[in-house]
Amino acid sequence: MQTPDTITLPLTGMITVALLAFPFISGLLCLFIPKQAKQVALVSTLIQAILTAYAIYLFNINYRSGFLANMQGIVDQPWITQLGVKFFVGLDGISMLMVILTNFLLPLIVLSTWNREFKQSSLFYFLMLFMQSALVGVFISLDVFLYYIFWELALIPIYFIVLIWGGENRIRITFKFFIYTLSGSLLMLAAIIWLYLQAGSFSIGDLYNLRLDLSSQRWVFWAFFAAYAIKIPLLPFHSWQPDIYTTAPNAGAMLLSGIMLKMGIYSILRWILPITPQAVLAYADVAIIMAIVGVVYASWIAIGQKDFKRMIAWSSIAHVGLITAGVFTLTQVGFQGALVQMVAHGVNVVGLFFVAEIFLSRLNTTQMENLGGIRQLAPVFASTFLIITFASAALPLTNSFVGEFLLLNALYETSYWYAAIGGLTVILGAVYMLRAYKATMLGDVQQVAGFADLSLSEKMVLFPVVALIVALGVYPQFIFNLTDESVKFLLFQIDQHLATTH
Amino acid sequence: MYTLVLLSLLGFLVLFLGAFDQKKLLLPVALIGLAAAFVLNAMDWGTNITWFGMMNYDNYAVSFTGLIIFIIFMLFMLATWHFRNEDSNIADIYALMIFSATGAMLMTSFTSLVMLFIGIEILSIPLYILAGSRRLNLSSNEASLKYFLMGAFSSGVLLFGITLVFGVCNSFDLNVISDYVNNTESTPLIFNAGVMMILIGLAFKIGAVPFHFWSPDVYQGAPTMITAFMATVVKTAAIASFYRLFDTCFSGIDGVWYQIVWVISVVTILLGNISAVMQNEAKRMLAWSGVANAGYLLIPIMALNETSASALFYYSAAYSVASITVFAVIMALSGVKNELPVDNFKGLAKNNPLLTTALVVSMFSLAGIPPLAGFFGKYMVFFSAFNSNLIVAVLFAIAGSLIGVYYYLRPVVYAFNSEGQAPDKIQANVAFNLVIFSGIFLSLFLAIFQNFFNGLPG
Repeated sequence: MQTPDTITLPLTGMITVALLAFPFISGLLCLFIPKQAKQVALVSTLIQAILTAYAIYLFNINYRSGFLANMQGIVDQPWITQLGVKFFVGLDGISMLMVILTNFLLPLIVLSTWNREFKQSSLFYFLMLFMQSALVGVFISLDVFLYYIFWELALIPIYFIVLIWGGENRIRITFKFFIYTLSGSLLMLAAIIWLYLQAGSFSIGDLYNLRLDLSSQRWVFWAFFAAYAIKIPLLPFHSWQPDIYTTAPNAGAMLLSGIMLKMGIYSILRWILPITPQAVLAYADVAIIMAIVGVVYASWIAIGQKDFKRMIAWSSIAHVGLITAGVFTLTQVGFQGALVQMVAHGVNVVGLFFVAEIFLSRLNTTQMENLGGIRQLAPVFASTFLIITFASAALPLTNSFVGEFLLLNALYETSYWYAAIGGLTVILGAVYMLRAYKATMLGDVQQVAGFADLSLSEKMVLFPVVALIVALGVYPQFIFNLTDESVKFLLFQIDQHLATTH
Repeated sequence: MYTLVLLSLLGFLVLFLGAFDQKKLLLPVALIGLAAAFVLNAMDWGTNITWFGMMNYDNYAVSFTGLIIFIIFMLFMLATWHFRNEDSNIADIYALMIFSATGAMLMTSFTSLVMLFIGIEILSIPLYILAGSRRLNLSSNEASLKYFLMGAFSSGVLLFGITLVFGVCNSFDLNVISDYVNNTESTPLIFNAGVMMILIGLAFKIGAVPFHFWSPDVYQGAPTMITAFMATVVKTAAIASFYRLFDTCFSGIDGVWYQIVWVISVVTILLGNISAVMQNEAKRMLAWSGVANAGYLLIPIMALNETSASALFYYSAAYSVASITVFAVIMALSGVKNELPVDNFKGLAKNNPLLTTALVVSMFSLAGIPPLAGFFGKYMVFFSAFNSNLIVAVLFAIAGSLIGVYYYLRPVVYAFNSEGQAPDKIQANVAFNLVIFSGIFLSLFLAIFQNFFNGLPG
């Protein structure tokens, strides 16, 4: 084992801070160059992606210090000393994976808006980039107060994106969304203050070393878990989600489902598992059952949907339900399955919402009964959509297959019934995805006459999505290598915690 | 003390300038005077001088006085544009605001109950006139009369309480009373009744339930400038005096008043927030929001630990800055009218990006969304409460903030509503825009100066 003193890490704090600040600064640039906002946003997200790639190159997957496994690129500066708040950020394998997901999806999301003219487009792209910074902040914060600030900050841009550029009923829907997520967050804030008074610090290390008794762990667990269950969302806290996905502009829906809901799952791994493991152990079954009931229920509802976007929304609840269930198995396989599937779902859902965007831009509708027969007019589009459909239904050689296989495997080890019922998602997923494909692509051309095939900018979104689907399906090892050390450390942390509390 | 003298002289000077018809000089003189007062006040930092056994300029007093002078400075900057068409007795309005501020200063620095009473009266009497300063406006007159009747009544109750306490301790001096409380096994009923009446008198001033009835009507009826003054200066001064009195004198007998303040605080938070939801007039809504905020401000007073003073100060500062900015937007939108239905925010974003930004940032700050100033204010209030194990009160406060989001967001949502007629571009002068800019800036970045602020109340 190498100690931090004997090894100089190539990934420095400078790069972490750059990853955090760059999108926001270029977002401000968008506001000052309103005519070229779109171009500025694209270039900046591409630069950010390159910067992320550079960070991956520098990231040392074998590095291991006593502190939080392979945490690197650490910046630890006092911020509000009186309150004990620090600017404390760093990347371990899990954070790195989430940052990669965020920063590689953002260029695609920006490109997906290429053909669309927004009113006040500079504000739109500013909010997108602002959101990117906040999301990166959530994933790299090691001070729970700082984390809370970014967590809330991520809510504001998406609220305005949907409020200003959303569809029908957006005022009522965004309001429900805001209140719903904020109520969870405020409970989490209360728990954070309470934890601070116990540990005397907001730093992740001190919180990990905190040994709470079971009854305190219980309420801290529920206070955090309420926030995450709303954000993910798990049944019965999901009622805000289908509405907002449907009314949001597609780019906003991509941000929400592709990245933002991963905040919840990531936070379970980062905060509640290591801080309240006993309570997690006590309530794991409750959480898994909540998640699995959600999986079946949401899949079932998805089958009945007439609107393509609404179907994606419900399918999204099903997919993340399975991921959450996998996390609460508290096994290495479950964690890794969850990580792979988080990335896979992020990629797939961006693809799916972009397909919805293409329907919307060509035909001004996403009602599936008004589509049909598109394959004859747009073969390239139909083929890429088919691959995304397969990926969503978790066919072998696609990215979701790896993730869902691992997740079901982990569930099976916990209980046969969990796997059996959770496994329905694969079957039901195939039903609604193929049904949607059939309704939109196959059949006779009736109302879609003149449907043009993919334009260049559309290809530049969908081809990378397809490439990522296949690449991660064939070679998921990249994700395993990246997160292996962190996942092991997480398990070690939980075990050690359980061994030293009674 | 010199600050106090300077402010009183400044008030007279402004009055005379008005009498000799020097309207052009009014605001420059007032602003320079206030800036000088601010500097003079800052120089008192750390000196801790006691004057005549009546006032003590400790750091607590200096910080709150500084805040109050800063707020009035901002308000006068707004006045440069807001009162552009006003020609009658404008000097009186400025002078009365300055006189009122001297009362606020006494309320932050008193060491004698007499000073507290005199401070409250000096603060209030100019306000009775100011609330009715639109003489031809019926609702302004109504506001003035209501405020006067309620204020006189509450002053009476307060004075009664002070005499009861005096009767038992034989002194108005806070230190003597504090010694008496700490050295007495159980205080006599008559003393406790006195404390209760003082509590009621002060609760009237901060507008806590059930002594809040005057506030919506008065806020709505009074000229917007005066409403802003009441929402910021009066509230800050009242809460500063409340804490100063209870911290020094009555912390030893918190069994007497603790539960009552607890109930007042929770009911104030809930009723204030719920009533604000139902309002359709912006100033009325802010009045109820002010009621709710009085409830939050009572929490550190219950907690009464070493974090309370800084929580109160920071919360008052954040709340005042955001309120002034919102009132500035209301002034810009309502023009010569005295009232502004919330509907009138519709379409604001179209032609007025600066005002919209100000509205969004301030409303989010009031709603307590991180990382804005209001969030840190709420955080510090909750933190002080947790330190004293007031967990249930915090849960009520959290529920209240959630309700609060509804009405704080409504103007924001309306601002981005593109249906209907959007207001034209509003051209204000530089000073007005400067206030708007600094309002946005402070709400955004007060957190960065947190270290500075936390040390302030001493």
